[in-house]
Amino acid sequence: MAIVTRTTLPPMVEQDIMRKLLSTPEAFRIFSMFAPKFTIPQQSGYIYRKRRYNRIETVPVPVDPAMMNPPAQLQTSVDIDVQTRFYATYVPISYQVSLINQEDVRNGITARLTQCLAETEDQLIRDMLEATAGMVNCTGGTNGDVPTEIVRSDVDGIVQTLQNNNGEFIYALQGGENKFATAPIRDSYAMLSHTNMISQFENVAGAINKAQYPNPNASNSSAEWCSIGNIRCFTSSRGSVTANASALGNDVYNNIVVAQESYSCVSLEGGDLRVIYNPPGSGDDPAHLRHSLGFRFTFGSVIDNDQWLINLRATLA
Amino acid sequence: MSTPQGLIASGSFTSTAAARAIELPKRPDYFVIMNRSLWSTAPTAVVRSEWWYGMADGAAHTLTEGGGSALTATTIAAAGLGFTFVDYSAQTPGALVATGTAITAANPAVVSDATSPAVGNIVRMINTTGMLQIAGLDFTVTATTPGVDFTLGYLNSAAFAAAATNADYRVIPAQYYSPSKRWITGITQAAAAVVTMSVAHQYVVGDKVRIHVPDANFGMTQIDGMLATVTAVGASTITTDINSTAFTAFAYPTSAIAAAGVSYPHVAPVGEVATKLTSAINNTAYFAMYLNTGVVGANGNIMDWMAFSRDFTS
Repeated sequence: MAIVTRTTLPPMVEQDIMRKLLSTPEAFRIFSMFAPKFTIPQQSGYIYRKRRYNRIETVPVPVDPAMMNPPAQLQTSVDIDVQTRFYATYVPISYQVSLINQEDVRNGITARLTQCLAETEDQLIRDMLEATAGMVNCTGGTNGDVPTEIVRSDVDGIVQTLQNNNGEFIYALQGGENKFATAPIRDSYAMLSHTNMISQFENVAGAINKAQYPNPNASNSSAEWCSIGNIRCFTSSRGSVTANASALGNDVYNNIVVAQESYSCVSLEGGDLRVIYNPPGSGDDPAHLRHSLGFRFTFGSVIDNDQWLINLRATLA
Repeated sequence: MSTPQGLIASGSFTSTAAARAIELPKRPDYFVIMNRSLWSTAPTAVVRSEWWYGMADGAAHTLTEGGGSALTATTIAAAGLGFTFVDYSAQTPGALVATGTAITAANPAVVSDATSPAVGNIVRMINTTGMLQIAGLDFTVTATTPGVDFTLGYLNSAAFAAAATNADYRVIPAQYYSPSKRWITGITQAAAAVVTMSVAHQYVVGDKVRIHVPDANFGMTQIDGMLATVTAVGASTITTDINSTAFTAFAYPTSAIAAAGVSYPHVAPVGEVATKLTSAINNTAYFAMYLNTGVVGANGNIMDWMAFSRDFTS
C-alpha cells in the first residue's frame, strides 16, 4: 500500500523557533546592595571629597573652682577622596542581522548590556573593597591552612570588633515566633561572600538558614543565605576570591562584613548610566550598513569608614 | 570575511633598553614598532617588530638588519622577549613555580630558585616550609641572580629561627585600586614609627593610613587600629606620626605559631590630610602592550610604534 511519509512529503521547514530568548545566567550583585550613591554636580570636578570630624575627647575633670577655662581641644578631621572614572562598552551590529534574525536582536543585546553595566559596578566595588579594606584571617578552623575555614568564633570576633568600633547594625532583630523550626534573628551586620562559602556556612555552629527566619519574607534579597550570630550572609557567584593566597596556596575567600554607612559609590551628574543606540548611518557608515548599542557611565567607590568594614578571609574546609 | 583595520594609537619614545608598557585604549589586532635610529644603518640589530592578535605571550615577528642592507625575518618564540598584551584589571596569578629550595634567614631574605622572576615582580610565597611566617604573603622582587636566586628586599628575616627549606611562588598582578593595603614586615620602636611593607607601596606624604596588627603573635599590639599620617616615604617604608617608643617590639612569630593560624599585620588606606588631593581611591587599570627587551631597542634609540584594530568603530 502506498503511503505518504516524511521522505516523500517532507515539511517545507523542518524547525520552529521559540520567539522568546532563554534566560541568561545573572549573578547576584551583592556589593552594591549596601552602598549609598552620591553624585558630583556638573562643573564640580571629578574627585568627591568627604570629611569626617574625629571625636573630641571626653572631659571628666571638673572646671577649676576659680572658674579658669579648661584646656581647649583641637578639632581634627580625615578627608576621604574618591576619583570617578568613565566606563563604556558597545556592540556593533550589521544591519543585515537585524533584518534577517527572527529574534529581536536589539532588545536582547540591550538586556545583556544592562546586565553588563550592573555587574561591572558590582565588580568595581568588590575589587575596591578587596584592595583597600582591613582584614582578619579565620583562625578557628582545623583545615591546617592560613587562613582556616570559617567557624563561629571567627564570626563572633568580627562582630565584637565592629561593636568595639561602634558600627551600626544594618538589620534590626526579628523576634522569635511560635512556628516550628524557626529561630529569632539578632540585630545584624551584612557579610558579602562567594557562593562557594555556602557549604562552609552550613557547618558553622548556630547558622540559621533564611527559611528558618521567623519571617523569611523579611529578607530583602534572594542572595541572602543564612544568619550566623549577628551577621546575615549574602552570597554571589561573583563574590570576592583572592586566588592562591593562603599559606598552602589555596584560594582565599574574602568575606566582607559591613556596617551601616561603611562604603559608598559616586557618579558624575550627567555622566550616570546612559544606554546609547546609534542607528544605521551613524559615524563612518555612509551606506547605512551597521548600527550599535552601548552604554557609558561614571563611577567611583570608596570605604567611608574603614573601622566599620572588615574583610574576614577564609579558605574552604 | 575581511574587516577594516584602523589605527587606534601611535607614538614614539626614547628607549632605555629596559622593558616597558605602552598604554592603549583597547586590545589591538596588530602592533608594530620600528627603530628610527637604527633603520638602514646596518646595525646588526632588530629594526622592526610586529605582533598580531593570537600570537603567544612574549612572541614577536622581527626584521633584523644583518650588518648590511639585507633584512632577515626572524621570530621571537612564545614566552620570549617579545610582545605581551596586558589587561591590568586581570587579577589571575601566574603559574605555580615549585623549584625554590630555600629562603635565607637574613636581611634581606634571598630565595634559592633556578626559575627567577623579574626585578619588580610581585611574588606570592607559599609552602615556605620552616618559614611559614611568610606563607601566603606577597613580596616585591628587588634583585635576581638568574638561574640562582632572587631577593625579597623588603623582608628582614634575620631574626627568624630558621631558613625555609622549600619556597614555591607565583607572580601576581598588582591590585588595580590605588592606594591599596600592604602587608607589614617591620615596625620600628621610635618617636616616629617607620613601617616597612612587603611590596612597594603607593602612599605619599599626607596620606592617612590605619595600622593593623590584629594578632598578638606579632607583638606591638598597642599600635593596632591606630590612625597614622604619613610624614615621609621610601620605596617600601612609610614614616608615621605615631610614637611607638614605649610599645612592645614588633616581630614575626615562629613558623610553628604561624602555621597554627595567625592574622597578618597590614596597612590600609583611609584618607588624606585636608591640604592635599593626590590620594583619592582610584581605579588605575588600563590596557597595555608590554614590550620586552627583545623589541624595545637599545638605550637611546628612538622607537616609533603604531597599534591597529579591526574594530568597525576604531
